[in-house]
Amino acid sequence: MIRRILTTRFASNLDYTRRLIDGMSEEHANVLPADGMNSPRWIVGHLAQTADMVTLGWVFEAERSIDSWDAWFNGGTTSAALTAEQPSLAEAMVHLERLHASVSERVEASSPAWFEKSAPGIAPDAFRQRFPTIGNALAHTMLSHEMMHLGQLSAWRRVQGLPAV
Amino acid sequence: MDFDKEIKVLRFMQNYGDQLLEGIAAEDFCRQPVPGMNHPAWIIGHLATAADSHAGEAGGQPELHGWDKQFGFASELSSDLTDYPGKDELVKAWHDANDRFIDAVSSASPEVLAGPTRGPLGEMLPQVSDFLAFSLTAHTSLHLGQLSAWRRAVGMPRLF
Repeated sequence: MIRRILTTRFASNLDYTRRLIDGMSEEHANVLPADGMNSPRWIVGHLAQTADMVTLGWVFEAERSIDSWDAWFNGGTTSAALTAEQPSLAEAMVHLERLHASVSERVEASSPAWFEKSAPGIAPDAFRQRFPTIGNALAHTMLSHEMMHLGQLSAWRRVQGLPAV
Repeated sequence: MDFDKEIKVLRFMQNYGDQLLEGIAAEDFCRQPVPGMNHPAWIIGHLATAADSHAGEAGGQPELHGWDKQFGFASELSSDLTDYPGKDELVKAWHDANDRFIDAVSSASPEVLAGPTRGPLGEMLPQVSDFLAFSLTAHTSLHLGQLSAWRRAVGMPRLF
């Protein structure tokens, strides 16, 4: 049950992301309607960076592939600090698609008992305390964390006058 | 069917929502810093209305009769505070509706969970169990993301 919910909802998040940024130019993806709001480029980059660092790195103990992105997309970084040197929206989306596939494959290959274990020691103590089991951790990182940031992207679209998705 | 992990997500996000709401003055609940943005009164009223309605889908008893007109999907926003319940009432209604939703999900029968999802979401979420998993893990998170963006747009600090 948990595997089905995780993978189907995770796939829906990715599909929703595609639709939210469909047709968006790189220039538009950097627009900040108000100080402090997250831009589409930062949001998609942050989702990819979280899938790499938290979901794959901390929970699956997998080797990371975009650890250099922490400097630009980890929690606490800002959209306003991104320059042309850093990954574009299109590049971030390519990595998000790739990392989603990697996470989903691992979830589907895991036994139900594995989801009841504690998160690995590589994860920070605060994360392990907040999410007592791997299943709890994945339910947050794969589902609610992604959807919360997609809600920010939804709000960004509205203030840009774009139609609802 | 065990929704324990999905219920924990909803509780986690409710706690996150409470943190987002701290520091938002009741007088600002209908403020729209940028035209078109959902304001806190609508977001919290919508989450309460949705949880109340989704409790009904799980076999529970909805209590927020008539709220759908003001807070249902695609309802029109008003910038007049007197058009909405106050902040405390909205937040309590949201918390109480989440409690009813969780109670209903926890005691839903296999027959209810295997039933077809009603309405337009039925195509994407064919069974009631699919719909409930979506509601527990995604719907609240999506709208709290909008509330997070609202906070940033009015100049409030990030939480994390």
